[in-house]
Amino acid sequence: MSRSFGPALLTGGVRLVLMLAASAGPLIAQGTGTAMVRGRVVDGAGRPLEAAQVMVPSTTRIVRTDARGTYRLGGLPAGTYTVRAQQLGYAAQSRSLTVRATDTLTADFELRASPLSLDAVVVTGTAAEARKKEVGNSMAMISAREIEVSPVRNTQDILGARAAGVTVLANSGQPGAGGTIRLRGTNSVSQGNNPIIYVDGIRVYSEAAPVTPGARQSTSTFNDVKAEDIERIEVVKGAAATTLYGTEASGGVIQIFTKRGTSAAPEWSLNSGVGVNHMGHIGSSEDPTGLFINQCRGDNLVDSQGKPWIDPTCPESGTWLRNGSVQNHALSVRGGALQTTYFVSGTYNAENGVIPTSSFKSGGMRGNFTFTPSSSLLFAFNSAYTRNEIRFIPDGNNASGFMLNAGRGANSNFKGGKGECVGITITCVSNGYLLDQLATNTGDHFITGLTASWSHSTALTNRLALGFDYNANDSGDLQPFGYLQTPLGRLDKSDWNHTKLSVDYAGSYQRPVGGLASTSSWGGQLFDDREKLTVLAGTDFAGPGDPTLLSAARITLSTADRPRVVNAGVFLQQMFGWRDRLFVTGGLRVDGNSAFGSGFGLQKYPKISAAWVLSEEGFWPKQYISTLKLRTALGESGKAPGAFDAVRTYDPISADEGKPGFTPAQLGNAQLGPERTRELEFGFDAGAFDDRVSLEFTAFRARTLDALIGVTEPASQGFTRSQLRNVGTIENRGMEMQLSGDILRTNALEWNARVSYSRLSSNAASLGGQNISMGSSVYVREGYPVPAYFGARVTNPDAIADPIVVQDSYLGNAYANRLLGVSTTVRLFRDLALDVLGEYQGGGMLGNFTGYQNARRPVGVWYPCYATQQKLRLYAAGTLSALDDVNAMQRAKCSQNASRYNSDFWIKSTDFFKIRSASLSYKLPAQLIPRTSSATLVVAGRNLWKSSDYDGLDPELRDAADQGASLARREYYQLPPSKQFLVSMRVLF
Amino acid sequence: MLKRIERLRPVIATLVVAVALGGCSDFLTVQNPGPIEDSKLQTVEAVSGFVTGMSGDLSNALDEVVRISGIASDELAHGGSYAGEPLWYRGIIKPEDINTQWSLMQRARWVSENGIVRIKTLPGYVYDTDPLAARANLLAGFSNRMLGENLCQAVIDGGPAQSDSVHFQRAEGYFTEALRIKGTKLDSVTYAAYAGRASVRAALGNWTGAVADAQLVPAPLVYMAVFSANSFRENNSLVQETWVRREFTVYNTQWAQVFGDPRVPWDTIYTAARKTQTGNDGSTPFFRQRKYVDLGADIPLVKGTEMLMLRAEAALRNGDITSTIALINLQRAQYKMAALPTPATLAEAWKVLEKEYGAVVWIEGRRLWQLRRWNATPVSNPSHSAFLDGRATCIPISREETQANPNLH
Repeated sequence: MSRSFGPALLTGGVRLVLMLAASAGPLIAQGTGTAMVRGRVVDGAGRPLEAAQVMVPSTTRIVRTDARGTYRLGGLPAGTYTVRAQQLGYAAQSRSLTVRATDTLTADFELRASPLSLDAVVVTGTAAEARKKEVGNSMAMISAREIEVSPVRNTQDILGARAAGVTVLANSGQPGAGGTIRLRGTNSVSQGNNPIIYVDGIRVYSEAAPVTPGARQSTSTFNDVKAEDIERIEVVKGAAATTLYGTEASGGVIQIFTKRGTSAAPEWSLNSGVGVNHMGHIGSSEDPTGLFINQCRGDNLVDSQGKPWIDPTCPESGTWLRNGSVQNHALSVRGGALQTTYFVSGTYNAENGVIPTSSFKSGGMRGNFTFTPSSSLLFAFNSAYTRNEIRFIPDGNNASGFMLNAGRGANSNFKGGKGECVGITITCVSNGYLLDQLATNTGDHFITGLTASWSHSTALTNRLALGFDYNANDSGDLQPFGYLQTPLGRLDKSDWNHTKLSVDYAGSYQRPVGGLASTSSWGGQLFDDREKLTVLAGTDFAGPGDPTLLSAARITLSTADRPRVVNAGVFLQQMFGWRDRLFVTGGLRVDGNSAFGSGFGLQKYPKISAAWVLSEEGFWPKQYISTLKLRTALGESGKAPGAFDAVRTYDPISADEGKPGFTPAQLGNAQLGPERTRELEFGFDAGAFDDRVSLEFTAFRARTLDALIGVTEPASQGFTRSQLRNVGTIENRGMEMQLSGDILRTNALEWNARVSYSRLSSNAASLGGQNISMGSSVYVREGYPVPAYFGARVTNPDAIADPIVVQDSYLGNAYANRLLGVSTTVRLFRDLALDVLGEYQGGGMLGNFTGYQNARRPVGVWYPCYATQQKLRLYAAGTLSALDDVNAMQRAKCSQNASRYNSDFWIKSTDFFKIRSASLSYKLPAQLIPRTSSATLVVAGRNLWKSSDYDGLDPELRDAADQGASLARREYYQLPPSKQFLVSMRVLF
Repeated sequence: MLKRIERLRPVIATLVVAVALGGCSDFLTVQNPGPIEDSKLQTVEAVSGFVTGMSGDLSNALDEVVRISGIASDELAHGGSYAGEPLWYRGIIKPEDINTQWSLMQRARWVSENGIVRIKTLPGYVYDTDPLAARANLLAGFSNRMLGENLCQAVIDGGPAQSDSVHFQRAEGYFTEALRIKGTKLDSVTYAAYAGRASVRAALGNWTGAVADAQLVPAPLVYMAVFSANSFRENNSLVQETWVRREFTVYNTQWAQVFGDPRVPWDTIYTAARKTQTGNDGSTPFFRQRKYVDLGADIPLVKGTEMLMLRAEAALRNGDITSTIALINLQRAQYKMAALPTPATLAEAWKVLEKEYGAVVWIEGRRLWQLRRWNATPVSNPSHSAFLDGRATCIPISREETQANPNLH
């Protein structure tokens, strides 16, 4: 299947670029000099600021401070410069310096804490570097300092509760499993809502890796960027901010910047920690057995009729749980000379899960090098490699799943064992054999990028980045020879790799135009994505051993996909600034994509934004509100259809005993194009009390136009799959607010806190008449939130009566629409800090299919239903008073009658508040450890406490295999997240 | 001069970028393997693949029908963990629960009917004599018969709802066309076409024509829908559900009282503790069907013994008990089973016929239609079967079809 959009894009692109060239004026050459500026950057309390940026704006001259806060900025020709020091969370400070050819000047900076950081330089969504004050859209930034004091289990944890409008859901408690990340909710019904990810300016694969067979969970390549290597993260959330990224960017953009070297002597950092994973009680407090996981032995192993069962394979401890060891180590060194800097790191993380056999190991290395041959030219070469080795427990909706069988008590599929049950007269299960299964996932992730930045003058900058992102994932599920359920054995394998080649050029030119500051930017990107996925299964091995697929007597190939998608685009942006306080920016992105229909052509995404720093006006009463910036932005970005969605195709199949044949695949749509999300946002950034307290507020309204909707064709027309058509309109609106402040700052006590709150509201305004089922009672329907639960609803839940059930009722949002993040840091005597991070998510629902499946079975094993089921049996036997205290909802949920029970009754609110993390860190006295410059001891815990009325195992769970990339969620015997306790030491030397 | 060049730098740089973009032209042409573009199949070489695809899609659909029809018509009971199947077992078939099955059945019909239209027009293709064309028509006939026997109403190519007999009429046409192409050549396709036409003629009430065709079919004939262990798509999923999982049991059906019948083979599974194994629901005794024991087990589309039973029913409809029992015993002889005595009354004869017919086509996706046509006769008629009273007699139009098809609004 061949598609080309090159000629159209070239015509449009060249025209766009030539327009820009015409506007470029005379340039001033720059040379290389030998002068140097050096000094120290500290905070208001005199503490050194590590990794602060010291730069000569609009040149490639930029260095970072070391742990002592010192820097060296060299290679400067004689002249007068503005040198600026900045650090996220602090107000930038500039100095004007005049240097002669061989001068070495000292310039120290003391930066004042300022959560607003309007002077911070950002790059995400801005074409070229821009100060935050110039940007018309909201932007969230997370710094390394936050990560260092607040422990994260994986990189996705960094985002949770730290920025308004960002939703992070864990999906599973299995070590190594990836989660779900959403920025400003759901804009696309069919094309996924994952944000696109950049690492040091290189775009990387941002979707989940394929599901691991048996484990039914995916890994997230996002987590391969190690938290220890991260310097800061920029998050832009809506289409108004992501226009310049074009197609694929409507889910937002997350850009990770990793640490860089310094022009100083080598500085080593060792971060080493050990800890433990601990589960605690699983599920309802009414269930003393914790779904028969906390207890797999003893008198509590009874069904709802009081009949006992036994599992002779239950461990001696009487529980399936253990405390899993955790160790994290990271060693890095950074340093460099005037022209060359380096940051090299290695990380190793290993943890054992709370269920025996579950483990996760991850190791990686990173090398970031910069070379500045002249003051106008900079090369940055960044490479990272990560390898993950995971052994999952078989989990989720899996007949051989550990949680499904152990959690179903007497209904386990694993009965009889291998002799253990002989002579036992009660139901005898043998779940221990489930753990013979090996669900493994080995992942390799390599990211490399070469970026050349050329600043021919302070006016003209060019940046060209070549990137390559390689992901490979070899996952499998082995039921070995002799396995209880499949005695001859079975091996399921999934072999996947994805490469993303990117070429990214951006240029900008600054010059005053009629009294206005002007920055013109232009650029183009090409992304070439190639994927290979092969899924095979082998059954029946001749004997024991460590089999490969070739060991199997029968081998079945179920998937062999090799899709390639190319997206290329060019953009143009123009910013005008007035008196450094009012900024107006307009831009246009033009994209072509190999997945667009042959008759579609190119997609154009416009944008316009404005920012006004009102507090810099003379009339502004700064004594009350020290800083106020108003901003607004309107822009578009999109999502492309899949590689084959536009073309009418047949699938090759085998039939008639392995003969080749065809079957209808995709109906095709030659006019298929991307969906476009148009977003308007407005808000303000305000600071009071000399910016010690800040408030950022944003309201937004997004409309996804030409939304790609899978239109169901009448099956009687032969094509059973739905066909994507640009027929829908999805609306999304909401507000985000973040209040940050230094509440107290004395010599002995510092207390700062941050509260972020966001509210989202989505609506499927039009779906082209479709009623889209995502599975598990999750639908997208016109006039309702996207997505939402629909199903049978008990209209008299609290009445002491039989349930009155209305079918096909709206039950609620499938995702939380109210997010509250709270964090606070209390620092005592400068060196002892307590950091706590909590999160509330409200307004979402989740189907508790674990409870439903356990309760409805003839042998009911859902403890919270035992009393009700006993009464239902008495009632059925003629004791009419038995139900006198049983309400309608209890009767409906706990019914074991096939004509009455319904999973819809188990769809419950997931409102929860969790203490995501808490840590106590102590900076040891200087010289306590010889030859170190700094040492910090951290005692930390994650996932420490939960409050929720949700009656399943955990409100964040999801079976990745059940619903794939769709919007549906349901809990189905997933292992919930465990607590994690860590003691770690960070030493600099 | 130098300054002029300096001034031109941005323009030169821009041109370099433009040329570089030009060099990317190859990058912007994407060739994707995998799915085959429709237009690439306009060739005679594709005919074989089309017909194999028709066969594969028919097997896929029949695979589903065998299970639904089976538990809706007392051939199997549900004793597993699935949530929807208990309803079908109780005779409740809802439009929203059969979207998948409806789609697969409709695809089987569309693929064969549309494929025939398509291959007829291929330049250079000799349709009138090609055995593949005959098989395509045979498969179109069986697809339509499957729909006619199981669906409550016919919907053709996004059109309005019509009588289910439309499918039987179309099937008759395709079987006849298959026979025309085969000409005088007698082989399994020819006999299968006669057998298929006999069954749909009976369904249309043309018992004379049905018997005439049935008489041409040798008793040993078994024409199969092909399944295979070769790939998951080709598997017989009832084997997965009864040999790998324990979802469907013979327990609680009339066949649980039938022992040692080669047409209805099943066994009882015991646990290591010598207790009767239960289904995946943890409580229903698991009696495992043994008719299909491996994932590649084929499912009969039509059999010579079924033709004997068709002729037996035709005779009984005429009140001819003697001929009926003679034909039934001919059928039993094929399975090396002892002859049955001649029933004394029509009512007894009908009971014998209904059970024998059921045994012959057990878990082949045919029983629901039998019960439906016997349920449709007056209660006073000895042929009346009450099993489907108060139960679904057929599969309704799926919810998705109703929503997507403007002619059904």
